[in-house]
Amino acid sequence: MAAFKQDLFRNLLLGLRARTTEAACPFDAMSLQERKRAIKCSADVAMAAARRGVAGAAIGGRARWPKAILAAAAASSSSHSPGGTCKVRKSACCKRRVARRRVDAKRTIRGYAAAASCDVARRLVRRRTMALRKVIPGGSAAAMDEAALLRETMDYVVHLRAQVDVLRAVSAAVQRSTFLGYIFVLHFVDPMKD
Amino acid sequence: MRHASPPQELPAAGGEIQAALAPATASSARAGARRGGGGGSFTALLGLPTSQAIELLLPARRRRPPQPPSPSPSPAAAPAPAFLRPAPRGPRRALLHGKAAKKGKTAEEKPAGGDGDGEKPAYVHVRARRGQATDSHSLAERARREKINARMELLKELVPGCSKVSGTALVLDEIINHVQSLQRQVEYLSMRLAAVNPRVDFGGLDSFLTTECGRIAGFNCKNGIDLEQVTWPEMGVHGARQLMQLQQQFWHGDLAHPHQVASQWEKRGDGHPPVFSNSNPSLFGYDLTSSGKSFTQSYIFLTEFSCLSLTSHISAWLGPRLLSLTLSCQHSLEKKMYR
Repeated sequence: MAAFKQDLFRNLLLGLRARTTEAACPFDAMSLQERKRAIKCSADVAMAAARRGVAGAAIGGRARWPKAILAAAAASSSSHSPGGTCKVRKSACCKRRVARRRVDAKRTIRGYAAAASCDVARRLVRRRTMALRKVIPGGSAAAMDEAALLRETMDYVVHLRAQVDVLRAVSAAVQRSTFLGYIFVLHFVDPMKD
Repeated sequence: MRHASPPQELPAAGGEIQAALAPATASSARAGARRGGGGGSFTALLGLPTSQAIELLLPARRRRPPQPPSPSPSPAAAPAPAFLRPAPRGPRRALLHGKAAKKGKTAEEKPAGGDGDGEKPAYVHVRARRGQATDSHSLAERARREKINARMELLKELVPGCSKVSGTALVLDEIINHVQSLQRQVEYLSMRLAAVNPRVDFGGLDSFLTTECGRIAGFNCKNGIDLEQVTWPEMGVHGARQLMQLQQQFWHGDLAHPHQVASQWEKRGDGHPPVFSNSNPSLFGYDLTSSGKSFTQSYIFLTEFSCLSLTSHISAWLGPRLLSLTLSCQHSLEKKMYR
């Protein structure tokens, strides 16, 4: 896990540097939201790349979410039109929602006799499974069965935790460095000012 | 002995999996701890190669068939009487246990397709339980269900607060919440990073990449100061020149143009200095209440430049007195604030 974190950190720095030097917009010309999005995107891409590079050889590398993250990032960077893809996704979701409403209406018309507890439980589980698919990257793309989805979830949770740790350590270090910058100024300025 | 193997058959399949998983995860946890892996047995499980992990998930099945042939060669050598010799195991087992035993039918089947492409098809020996159908469909169904349940167990152990909850839907709910909260944390931390350093000096960060020991030190100890102590001395080379420029501009800006700093803020388009209030509220509390305007403006001016390169020079200058110095500075700062 330490090797993964190191790779993640290295990839994050490389990605950020590439983003600011190669791209047209330097880091301080972007707004806060853009910066945040850039950092988050490069963190996700770094996580996916590190998962594929180091851990892939050791663990078996059968996770599908890194591919999905990298594909999404490549698509968004190449097309630069996230509105189009969002619209497509929204229409698909609307179709699914409409279909489900019709099915539910039919069920209630037939009466409550069919609403046995196991059916309700199964419906809940199915709903939760679909929600989980939406949350895990790459979950809704491929037709995965439940076992594969659970395995993807486990993998994703572990690596997501590592990413959070790395980001927290980096932000704490940077914050501490700015604080020490203030201390430095205080020491230099103080005797001259008063 | 004859009675050694039968007790293994009696417990239910789910219990077998758990019993096999528990010592297996204990051993893998030990291996993981040696490797320095993350929390719990699951990450140790992830550290194993694929075939071993699959073996742990569907454990006891494969071990049984090799067992029967093994004791048979040994008594052939010993001059044991005929009735003590372990006869072919199948009928003897049926004799001993009769109705209490499960049906002695084993079925071989391939695992479900979700196990991946690059693996050779592993045969899963599933034992049909008493009174249950023995056709291949239900056996496949049962194997699939057991696999899903095993993974749910692992997930329950991974996600905190899930072990008390029973039922698949609630556990899935907890898992979804956990994943969403982790993603939100990533967003929050990236926002914090974006706010704290408006300008990152990537030249100075080269040293971060080259010195991996700094990273390991940063992750192995909870106190993050160690990270900076290791990596900063290398960055002193980069930071020295920039610090000279900084100092010149600092004095010029301080004496000549106290108002330029405010305009620079607006030019940057961030809008409001509260961007930095996230990182250091105490200092800006002082900012608001003090009368020494140029003092606070010098603070703001300083943060325009890359903090990392600056602090690299500080560390080279401070050396080992880092911790004591920060403490004394903190004290003096607080004294100034509350004067």
